[in-house]
Amino acid sequence: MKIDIKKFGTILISRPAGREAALAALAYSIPKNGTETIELDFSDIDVLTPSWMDEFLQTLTQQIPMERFNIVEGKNASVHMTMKTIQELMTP
Amino acid sequence: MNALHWVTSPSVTEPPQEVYCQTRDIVQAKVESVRTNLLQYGWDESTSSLITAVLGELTSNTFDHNLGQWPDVPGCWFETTIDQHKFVTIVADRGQGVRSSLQRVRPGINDHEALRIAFTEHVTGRAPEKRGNGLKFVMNALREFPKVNLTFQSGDAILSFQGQMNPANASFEIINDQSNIRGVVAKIELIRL
Repeated sequence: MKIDIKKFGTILISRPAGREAALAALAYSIPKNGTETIELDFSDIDVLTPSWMDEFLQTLTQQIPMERFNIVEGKNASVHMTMKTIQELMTP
Repeated sequence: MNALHWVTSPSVTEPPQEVYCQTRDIVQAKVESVRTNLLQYGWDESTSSLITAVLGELTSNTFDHNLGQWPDVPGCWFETTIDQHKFVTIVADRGQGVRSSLQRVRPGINDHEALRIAFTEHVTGRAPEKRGNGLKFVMNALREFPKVNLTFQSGDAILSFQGQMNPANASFEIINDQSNIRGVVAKIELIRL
């Protein structure tokens, strides 16, 4: 299944907003059970920050394993930079 | 009154209305409008997006690390100047500052060490929450710009970052200053090529 992230807004900045988006996705969009890959599509996002993304992913992965998510970055520069910064965190 | 005067002033006063953001909602609306303004002045999509994200992180830090902890005036000073050639922004607060925020997880550090840790290590004063990406992101994003200057002061330490054509050559230093501020004053100047 695919989740179009722009449905949560196109300027994604704050931690509270990231958490709220994840809780809404868990409540209404993502089935809790199953093994289907969930595509998070950031293609039409204008601005993304690590704060929003941290909170979004941490809230999602409290209920769904990270392995089930596939992130589609799109072409936006702040999306690329956010993913780069988060990957640096995950790299020992 | 400028931002540095406001942060260092012994008298407890709110900033001028046009730059004062008492709550996160107010500053976020202003940050979002920066992207639109940059685009209207002909700045490219990539720059507008990255700068807006950088401002989002700097202003989020103000509220994330001081919520319920404001020593006196809550909120931040947020000021921008935009034209076709230059973008300048100042973000300042009278909060607890970087050293105080990190001291819970790194006891005994000074202001100089606190800035180095905040900008280069993945550590946060809000541990055990997994945070601490914001200022690393700011640095990563600003490396994309050859003509950019960032100064970031907290306590008696000032971080200076200067962009270069080759991002790997961007200069980064932290010095100690005579002045000592409790919160944070950050200034970014970006020249369009």
